[in-house]
Amino acid sequence: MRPAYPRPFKYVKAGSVGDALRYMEEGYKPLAGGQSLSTLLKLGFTYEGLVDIFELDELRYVRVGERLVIGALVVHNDVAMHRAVVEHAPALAKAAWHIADLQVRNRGTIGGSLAHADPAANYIPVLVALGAEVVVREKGAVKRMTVESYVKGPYETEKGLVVDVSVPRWSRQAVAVFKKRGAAYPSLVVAAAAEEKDGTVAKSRVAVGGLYTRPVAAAGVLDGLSLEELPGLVSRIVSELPEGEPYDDLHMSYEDKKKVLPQLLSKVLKELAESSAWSLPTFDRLTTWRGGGGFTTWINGVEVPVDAEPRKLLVDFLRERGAKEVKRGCDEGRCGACTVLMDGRAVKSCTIFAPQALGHRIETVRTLQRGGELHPVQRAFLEEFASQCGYCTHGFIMTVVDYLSVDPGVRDEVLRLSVKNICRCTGYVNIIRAIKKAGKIQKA
Amino acid sequence: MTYREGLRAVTGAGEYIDDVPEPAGALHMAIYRSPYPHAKIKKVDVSDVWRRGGMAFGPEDLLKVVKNPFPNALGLPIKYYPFAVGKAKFFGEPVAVVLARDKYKAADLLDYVYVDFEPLEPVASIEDALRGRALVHEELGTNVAMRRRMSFGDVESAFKNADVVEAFDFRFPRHTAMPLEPYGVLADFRGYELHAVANIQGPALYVYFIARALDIPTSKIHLQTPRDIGGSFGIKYSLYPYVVLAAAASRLASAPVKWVETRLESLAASSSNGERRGRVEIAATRDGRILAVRYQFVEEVGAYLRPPEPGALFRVHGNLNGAYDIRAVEADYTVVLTNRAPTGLNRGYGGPQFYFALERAVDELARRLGLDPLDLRMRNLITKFPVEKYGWRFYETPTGGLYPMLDYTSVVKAIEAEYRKWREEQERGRRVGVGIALVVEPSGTNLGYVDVAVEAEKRRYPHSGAGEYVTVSLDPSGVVNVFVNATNEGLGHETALAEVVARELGIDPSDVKVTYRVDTSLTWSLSSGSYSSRFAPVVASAAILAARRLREKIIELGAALLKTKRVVYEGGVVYDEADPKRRLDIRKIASAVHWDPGGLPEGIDPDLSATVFFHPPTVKAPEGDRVNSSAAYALQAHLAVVEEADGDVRLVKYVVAHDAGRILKRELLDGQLYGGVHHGVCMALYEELKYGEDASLRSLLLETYGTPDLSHFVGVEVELIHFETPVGYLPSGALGSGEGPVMGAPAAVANAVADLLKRRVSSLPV
Repeated sequence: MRPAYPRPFKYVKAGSVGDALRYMEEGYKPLAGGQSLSTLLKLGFTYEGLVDIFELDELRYVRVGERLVIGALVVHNDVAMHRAVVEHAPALAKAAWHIADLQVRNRGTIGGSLAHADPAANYIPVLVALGAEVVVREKGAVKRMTVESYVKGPYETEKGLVVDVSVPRWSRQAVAVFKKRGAAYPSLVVAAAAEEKDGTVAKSRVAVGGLYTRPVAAAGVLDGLSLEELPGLVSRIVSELPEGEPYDDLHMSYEDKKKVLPQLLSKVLKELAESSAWSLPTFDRLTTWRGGGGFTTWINGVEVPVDAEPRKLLVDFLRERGAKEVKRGCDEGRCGACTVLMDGRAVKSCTIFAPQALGHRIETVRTLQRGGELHPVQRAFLEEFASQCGYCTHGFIMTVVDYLSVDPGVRDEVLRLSVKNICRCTGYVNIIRAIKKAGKIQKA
Repeated sequence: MTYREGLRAVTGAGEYIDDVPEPAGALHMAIYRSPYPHAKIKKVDVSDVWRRGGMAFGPEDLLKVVKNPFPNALGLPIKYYPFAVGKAKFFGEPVAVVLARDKYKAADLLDYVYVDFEPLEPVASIEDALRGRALVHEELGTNVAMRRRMSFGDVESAFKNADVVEAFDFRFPRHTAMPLEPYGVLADFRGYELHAVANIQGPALYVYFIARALDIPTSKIHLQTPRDIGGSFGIKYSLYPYVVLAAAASRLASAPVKWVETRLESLAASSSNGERRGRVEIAATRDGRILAVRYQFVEEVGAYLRPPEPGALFRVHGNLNGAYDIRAVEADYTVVLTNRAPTGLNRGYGGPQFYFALERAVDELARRLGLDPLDLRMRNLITKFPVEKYGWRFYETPTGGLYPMLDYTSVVKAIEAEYRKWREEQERGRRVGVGIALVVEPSGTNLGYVDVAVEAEKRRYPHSGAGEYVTVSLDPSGVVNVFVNATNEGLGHETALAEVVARELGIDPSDVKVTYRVDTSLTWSLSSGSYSSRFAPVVASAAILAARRLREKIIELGAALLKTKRVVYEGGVVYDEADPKRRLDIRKIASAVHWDPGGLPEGIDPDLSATVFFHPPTVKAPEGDRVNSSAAYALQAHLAVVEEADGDVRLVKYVVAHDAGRILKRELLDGQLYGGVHHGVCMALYEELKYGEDASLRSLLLETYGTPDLSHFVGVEVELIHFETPVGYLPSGALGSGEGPVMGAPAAVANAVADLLKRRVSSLPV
């Protein structure tokens, strides 16, 4: 059992897509948001070399035409909140909302998630249901294929660099994500899309992910039916779904998933029939992540040379440079104790490698309280006794600062989907109160 | 008011073990751990590590400086070293250590430790252990570490005369309260002395273990804790083997050594409670009077019997009748060894398992008798406290416990309205489950209770440790310094103690500075530390007595300075009773005494400090198999409401009504209750350290351990109902309350789920 520090690897930052493709030819693995890859590295996986594509902002776009086209490096939070995605592919946006937490969604990308092809991935079943296509580039070739054919099995895809994903329009779509108890990863994802005319389904697709080693889809199963009939069709759809190789994950056996499947399907079909209004935050912005380059990073306003091994986790780099308020609480990028702001957005510094901070601005609580006054979030945490041992507090505060920029009204629905840091002392009661109070103080 | 620890937390100013500056030249330690739960170690070769720029030490090297195994409470010939000797006995057991300039390099060099293992058949479960086909310790000849059967009152005739006997079989999982900060040690063994800083938690008994293992006198050990510890919940008590391991490495390498555990390692090999299986039998009359209760518990403690184990069985010894007036109790305990990580303290130590068994069984009895579970409990509730001792009244339990008088009926009735409301919701057709549990919460552990694990005639010395030292002193500017040689793991003791001491002296809490950390070069006791919810009954009492003694000194000095005999002390001011205008405040007295002690009249002692050791009067060594296992006992009534949502069970509402004596600091008390409920809910619904049939650990990540996060508790309502009965036998009047919630929540939630699903919930997590 190796302590969870990554083994050494070669690291290059791609200056362009062509650059990335050249390194991939040489066997380098592309590093996008790194939210899964960093954990694999900590848990002992080895890669000879990583080519960092995360700052290729040319792969960050959302275009609306006949199809909705989403660049590979659009981060999950933008898939979740960008107005064009919400309008044209609400099921995809909703699936994005269910990915991990705010910090992971600030870094993780749709292309990275597709290429990682985790059987528990949120997007893939939705993209399959929507009949989405993916554009993949290899040196000298551009290939276009359905997401279904791109994903070959667990963690296995067609070769090449994902450039973008395109989604056809559907008038109705729905998704349900099932996570077992304390799990961060879903065990089952059910998605459906339908074209409806005068109350009758003209065209439809239903997909299920997590049940088998690959997502399965059934086309046309709802065709010719009226919307009102849909919720009653669960058992028929279950029987018409193609079968695959049963998949037991860490939380649920295939048999247990089969038991939950009808409830999820019923939820999806109901949503498809009713098509409720969108209630989650929406923005027009698209995040960019291009750093200034160079050899330095900025920690709380001070320029600091990055002279660490590429494998050094940002949390360790920051601590070695004196930012001891940044803590590490787990080995899997989950607990959020290491959260800092990077260019103003909350990220988990244990999922980022030191050279990825080049040209970016890192902020901790020291920036928040500069000038001697407590920031509203700090004040609220103090007044509500929202800390006990204090070890998770810094990460919580930095997360909440970013969260409030997304949901200043602190609605339970959004909070539940966003702030998933772990505290072992407080039972969260006072932390939840503090977050609500901070929202009020900021508004006032 | 300032929440002192909170201000440090929100400003990122806390200093935890990994933040403590390293001594110059410190090397980082990585631990080579056994990948097998049970394997013979045929050869350990670390020479390649040395060739590659690191240092490494295997068992043979380490044995040169770790001269004695750790003791165990039963005196069994089990050799527990902080590393595997001869064979590895659990997955993750340290086999060798590697030292390098940084932690990444040290981790890399683990690849060059070569160990030749011969895997052996593992003792993977309680059943395996009892079967005894494979043995964890050959020298023991069995996997059974202890069997004890103890009877109190006339159990036999109670069962003979009972109308009904309800038997309930159960299993309680392995669980770790999992402090977010993992273990860490800085060890510097120089000049035949050990200087160590570690985020260890009390009781300070471990100083003796460390000294014995390293074969050095306690005078050669200087152990400190950092100012802040990132949670512990009992888990960090079991850090002492790593203190010894790092000290040994430091001694062999002749360099300071730093080690910080990672989460994987903590889940694999730090500490947890043991798995328990067992049966509860309740003898009762048809109308629901409980006549007797019989417990048969089989507890596994992992590969070594690590002190204070098997204390998890005995921590609740004095309260085996729970909140009920039951005069006959029998306990039949078996402790077995398995090829799992050794167990230890975990929040509520022994209580969650015990109350899950008892309170679930009481619910099953109610169902059997067709009685409402709340009515059944009310019918058996303790209402009389006939024993007068130590200036208070008590209920004496058959096993030797002394429950201080509180208004049990009012506390239990406080949850009734809410309980009935949800029952009505059910009648209206709402799919919810309602569960209750009553908990008598022991606090202020009597270290002597562990002795009950051994037959009375075999005990060599009496033990009853439970006390604490507190030192207060007045500095030249009138600031009161308070020092406690104990650990600060997030309980808010600095804030609470400042207010307690300020109240005694009639001054502002901002004039009280509290230092709360371990330093073995200062006054300490074996029982020192923050554990078993002992702050309120023990530490606060010691602080009050110390403050009173200081006040006496201030009065005497004030009178001397005012040159009068009769003075009055009020609000930090000493004045002449005859002429109240002649007055000196604490500041002036402090200044005068510090600057001009020579000016005091002959015979007046200028000492402005007081150290008090407070030992609770109720805590005595066991007599036979009877022991008052704790200084204090509070009462809690729990109510849990669950519902089915999205194909799963979800907590909707939780209520705790309780009386823990005087409330010292309401906000901090609330925090302990909320946090305790959370840990109990984790045990009931989420978390388990799961082992496979091959004894491999399946829960090496938070994801597989099942840990919930903030999002799981958004919308869950937790309500606290406080009662306050200051008890007269403790200077603080306060009882502990950091563990009652974790003791009651597994039972209350399980009862709610059983109510919802109409099935016998006998194993956790549900």
